[in-house]
Amino acid sequence: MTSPEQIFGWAGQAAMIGWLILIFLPRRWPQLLWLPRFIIPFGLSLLYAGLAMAHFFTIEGGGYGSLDEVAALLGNREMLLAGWVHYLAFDLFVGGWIAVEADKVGLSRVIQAPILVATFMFGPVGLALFLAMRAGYFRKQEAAS
Amino acid sequence: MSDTMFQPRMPLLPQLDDDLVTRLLLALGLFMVASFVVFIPAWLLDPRILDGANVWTKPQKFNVSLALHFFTLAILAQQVPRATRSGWIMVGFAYAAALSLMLEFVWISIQAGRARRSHFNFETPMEASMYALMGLGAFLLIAVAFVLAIQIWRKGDRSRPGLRWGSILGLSLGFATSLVFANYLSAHGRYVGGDPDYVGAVLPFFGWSREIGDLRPAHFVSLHLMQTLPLAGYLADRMNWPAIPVVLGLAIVQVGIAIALFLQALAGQPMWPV
Repeated sequence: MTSPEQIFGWAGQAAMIGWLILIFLPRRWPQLLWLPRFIIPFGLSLLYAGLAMAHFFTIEGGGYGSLDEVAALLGNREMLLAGWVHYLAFDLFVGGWIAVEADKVGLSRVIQAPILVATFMFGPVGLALFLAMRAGYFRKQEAAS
Repeated sequence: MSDTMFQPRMPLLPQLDDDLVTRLLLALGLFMVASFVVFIPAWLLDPRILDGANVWTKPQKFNVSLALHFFTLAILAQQVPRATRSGWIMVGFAYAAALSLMLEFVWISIQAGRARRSHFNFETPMEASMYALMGLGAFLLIAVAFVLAIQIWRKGDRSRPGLRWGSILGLSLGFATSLVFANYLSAHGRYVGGDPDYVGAVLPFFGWSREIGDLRPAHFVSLHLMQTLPLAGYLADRMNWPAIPVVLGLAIVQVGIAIALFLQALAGQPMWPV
């Protein structure tokens, strides 16, 4: 049985590869984006599914109904790891979406980089940053086309 | 993008050209606005105080000021032909400003989150060298304005003299006076006649002292020549006022105010005493 620490390390490295591709590598080869957009989030999601399904139902007093229940859930190391993998998977997927949308509007990589780093470090902060920026772009789309 | 179904436009200013530099400058302004919006909850929820103000007030001032700066540059850049705007000089300085902005933004935000000063901070080697690096960044942030002023002077649209001279004077004077005041500020600290950790009565949001000499009001007034003079020139064109006297008159008045505020601060007096 692989230890939670070992899984934590592997999951983190997989996510890191995805973020490095999103932030630094050129967008000349669209296939390269499959890794951060789909393949790594899919792998992490499968890992989450395994961890969560194996442990969620076994935790005494655990659930989503109150902060205490969530605390009980995350008090379990395997479930805590599952929660972390959940962050990694969804943050990376959102990062991939941001990168693709940002490329579509011609947003410079210089500005994409801090938004993606914010998403990598503090998921929703980066998402909110990009959503707020995108609100500045899209409203006149019909008029322009 | 070649896809005609997908023509992104900036609704704020749909009449602007869609070249690389305009897009970059506009996006930088937009990024600052987005950052301002995203930091509002932290501003409201975080009780920590630094130098008498909420820790997030500093990045918020920075976000507002630079949003204004980059929107101004994007709009004023429309006066030069597209070839000039997309030439290597403008592209180079616009990218240098963009990279500087990102460096400053990230560092100021991190330091705010840590409730540490981003400016005037020599407490650790890292903080001292970042402060030095930010000096270069700040120079590059306003250098692009001066370069644009030169381009407008050489190749700008001459049909609107108010906007033209307002832009040239505003951008170059704003650049030059900011160099002088900001240089003095960074060398001597913001307060005159008080220790750097002084906390007393301040102006809301701006945080300028109302008890001792504060060099920042002069810096503020001179920096925003970049907005006031082009706007005055634009209005002069619209209203058929004599363009040159309006722009030049306001330039003299505003630089005069900045110098007066500077001398007042040097004398150790607050701009708006309690």
